[in-house]
Amino acid sequence: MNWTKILVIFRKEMLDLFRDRRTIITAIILPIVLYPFISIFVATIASRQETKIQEAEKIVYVYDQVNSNDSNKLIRGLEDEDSFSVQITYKQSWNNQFKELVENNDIQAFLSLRDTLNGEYERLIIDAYFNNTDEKSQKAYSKIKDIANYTKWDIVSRRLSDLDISDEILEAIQVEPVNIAPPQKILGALLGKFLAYMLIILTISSGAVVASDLVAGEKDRGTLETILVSAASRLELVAGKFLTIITFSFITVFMNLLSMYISTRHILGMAQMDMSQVQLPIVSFLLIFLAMIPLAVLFAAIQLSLSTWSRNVKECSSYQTPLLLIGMMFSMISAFPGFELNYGYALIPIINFSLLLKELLLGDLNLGHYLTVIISTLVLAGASVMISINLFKKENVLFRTTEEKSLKFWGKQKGDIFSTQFVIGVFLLVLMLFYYLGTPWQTKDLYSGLIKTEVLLVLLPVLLIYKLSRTNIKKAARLQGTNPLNFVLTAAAVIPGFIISAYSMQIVNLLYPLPESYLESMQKIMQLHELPIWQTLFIIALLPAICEEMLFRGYVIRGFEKSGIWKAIIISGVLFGIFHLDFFRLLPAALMGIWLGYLLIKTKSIFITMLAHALHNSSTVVLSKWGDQIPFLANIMKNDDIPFNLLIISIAAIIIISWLINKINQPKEFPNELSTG
Amino acid sequence: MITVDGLTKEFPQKEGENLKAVDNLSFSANAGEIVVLLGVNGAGKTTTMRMLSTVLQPTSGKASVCGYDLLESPQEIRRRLGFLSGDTGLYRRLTARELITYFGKLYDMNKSRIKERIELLNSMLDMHDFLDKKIDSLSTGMRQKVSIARSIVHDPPVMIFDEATAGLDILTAKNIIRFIHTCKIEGKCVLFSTHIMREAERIADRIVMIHQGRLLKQGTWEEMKIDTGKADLDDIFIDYVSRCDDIKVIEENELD
Repeated sequence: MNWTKILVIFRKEMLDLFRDRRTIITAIILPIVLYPFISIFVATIASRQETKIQEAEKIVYVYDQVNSNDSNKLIRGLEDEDSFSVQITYKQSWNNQFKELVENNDIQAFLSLRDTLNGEYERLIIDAYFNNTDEKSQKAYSKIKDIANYTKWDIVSRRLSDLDISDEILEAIQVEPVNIAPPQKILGALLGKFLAYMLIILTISSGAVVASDLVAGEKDRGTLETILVSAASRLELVAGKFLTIITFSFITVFMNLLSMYISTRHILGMAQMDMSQVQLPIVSFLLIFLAMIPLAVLFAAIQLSLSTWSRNVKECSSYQTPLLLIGMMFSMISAFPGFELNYGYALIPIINFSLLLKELLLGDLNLGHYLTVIISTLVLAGASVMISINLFKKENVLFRTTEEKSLKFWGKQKGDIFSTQFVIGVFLLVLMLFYYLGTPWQTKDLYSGLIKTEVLLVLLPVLLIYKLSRTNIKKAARLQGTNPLNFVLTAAAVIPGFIISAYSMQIVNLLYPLPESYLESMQKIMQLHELPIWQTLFIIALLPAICEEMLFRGYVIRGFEKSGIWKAIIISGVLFGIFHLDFFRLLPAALMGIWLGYLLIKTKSIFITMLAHALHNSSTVVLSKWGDQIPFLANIMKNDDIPFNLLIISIAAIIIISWLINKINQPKEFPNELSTG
Repeated sequence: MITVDGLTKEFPQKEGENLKAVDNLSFSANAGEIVVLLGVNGAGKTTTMRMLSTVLQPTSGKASVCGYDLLESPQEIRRRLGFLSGDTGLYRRLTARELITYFGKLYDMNKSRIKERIELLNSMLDMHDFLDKKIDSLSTGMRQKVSIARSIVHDPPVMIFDEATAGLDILTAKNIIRFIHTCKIEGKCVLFSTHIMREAERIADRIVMIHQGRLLKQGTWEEMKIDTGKADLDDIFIDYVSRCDDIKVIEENELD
């Protein structure tokens, strides 16, 4: 690798880029013009709107069935308010109409006055109807509260003076609010909510413009071949292009931040807020900048890969949309209350940066978190860079002109129901059906919802595919017997398997603490409103064992068997994990899926995996129902902590069982069919 | 200069099948010689050219350019090779001079050498009027000249033209043809692919006919005319193709 040549490529790409008017506009002119414009516009409009609502006439109807001195005093107070137009009514029968008027924003509030006797004194009760979705109505309500309060003080002090008591007696407690959060922290908390979002979106979107031009654009223009035949190596080309994307992203981010900063100061100045004491935390910004580098590298590598993979700019931009969406969703996490950086979140890209930024801006630097975020992102970035370099070396990617591998032509090979594309398509379809139909069914009625989901959404598609393609389902889904010993071994593996799965759940829980509400809903599914145990077992254990096994081990795994047994086992297992649509159960379910895949491939019988699946789920049900009555288990369940040595024993047991299964299912050296044929 | 020995390229199709784009192809080309690779569309011309320019890797077989092996030292081969194809694009936002300089640097040339070469190419291709204009504003003919300059900025001893005249009008195509002759005079080895018989006849010292990835016939036009007993170029080509198809039919029959 020759750095001078990389710089030659980098310089040329930058020159080419900055001669493009679109680039200049998006990277430089837009941020300079946009932020001042938006902020001034928004600030002016907002403040003007505020005064407008404050001063606008608000119609308040009052139904006064008390008509006492006190109520009259209150009404007079309301009438004295300039923005109120108060109408008095004495007919109770109209009350409902008034409520409707409030709801339709025709009037802003309706007050119904009644009174009760409180000891020897009257108490005036105001039923205040207002519309919380309407700003004018909200304002009217808060004014009414002020007026009522003020009137109350008046009445009370008059009552006290009747008793010859000074109204100073009321001043027993007074709250003096003093906000001790330093301006720095206020600013940090504010910035922490949206800065990560801004930075990530800007990095991704600006990188996208450049990246699509750098390789897919070269394919479009027919220049790719000319640089490939030049004396620059592929690595140098990738490196040069890579530097261009990162540099451009940083320029865009910097320009945007600068402009944002200046216009915010301007607005604050206009609002005459005292921000003179607020200093931007320079150290925090430096740390943020450092943490951003690996993230920018990661994005650049992904975008370069997408651009290399695409046949033209148009295709490239369609691949980039999902990346932007993921970036948006993940980076918004810092705006949610309650999410704080821990070592678990520090491993997930984008989310970790978003939370880290919040932490840094609040001035709480945790070095362990910081390093974990940087290192984990660096590892991912390194892997993505390797992928993009390898892609750039692949001739079938660079010269991808035939349609076979493009997403656009997926589904053209309808003849083959076991093609990888088709299987993934079916999986995604089932997943979507599961989400859009299954979830509402289950919310409506858990019992019938679960049955409907399993039978109609999981089992039926597989049966339809096999039926419509006239495939021999017995052979394809491996609905066939096997060595009886396999059933015994499978059953023996259930308990250790269960322990491993529970342990993996514990690890997940450690990294990403399960919310309380989640545990409750899981418990609810397990016990199904106290149905008889055989019904619970049927829904939780038997039905999923049949339906889900038919889908995953009876069909999905076939789509990957061509690319090797282990690939098939692992991919179908991970898909099985994803299928549960539950972040916390992803790991245990995927492990389970891998184990089931192994059993299937070795024993060549789906009945084995059905048995394993059913027994596993049954043990979950049994444990959640009676677990606390079993002496040894009760202890474990209460502490929610499985001893480590139990895990070791379980893993050892699983290894021995899988070895045995492998052994007894070895193909015989002279298979019968051949020796007799 | 170029020797190709049993070169084969297979492209994986769906599910394990392979398409043999180039099948056991052998030929050679010497310095100061124009060799035309002649074949219909899809015969494997572009694939062969791309393998020789080290952009694609052969599945099997050997080839060398200027004595360097294709697989062992691709970088050395690229340094000694100029490549021009009909649909070659240019960076439109650069000027002609910037573009040529960029490629010069990619070929490890120093500044003074690049300057020298640009001067020479400028007078050779008559680019004075537009050397410092952005390529975006140039006409097709001017762009073609810039492309030529780009491909020989490093003065390579071997030139590969892949359908370089396809889709060009007569005047621009003529530029290329004239340029090819210049290359020959300068003693370069020229490999030129086309599917147009007349073009092949006009410039070829020797012809390598390929069909469905395989070598059909190698030799001069004169030899081919005598061999087939036909005068018309199209007829000669069709004659060789039909012979090749006959062989195929026999092969298939033998299998049964």
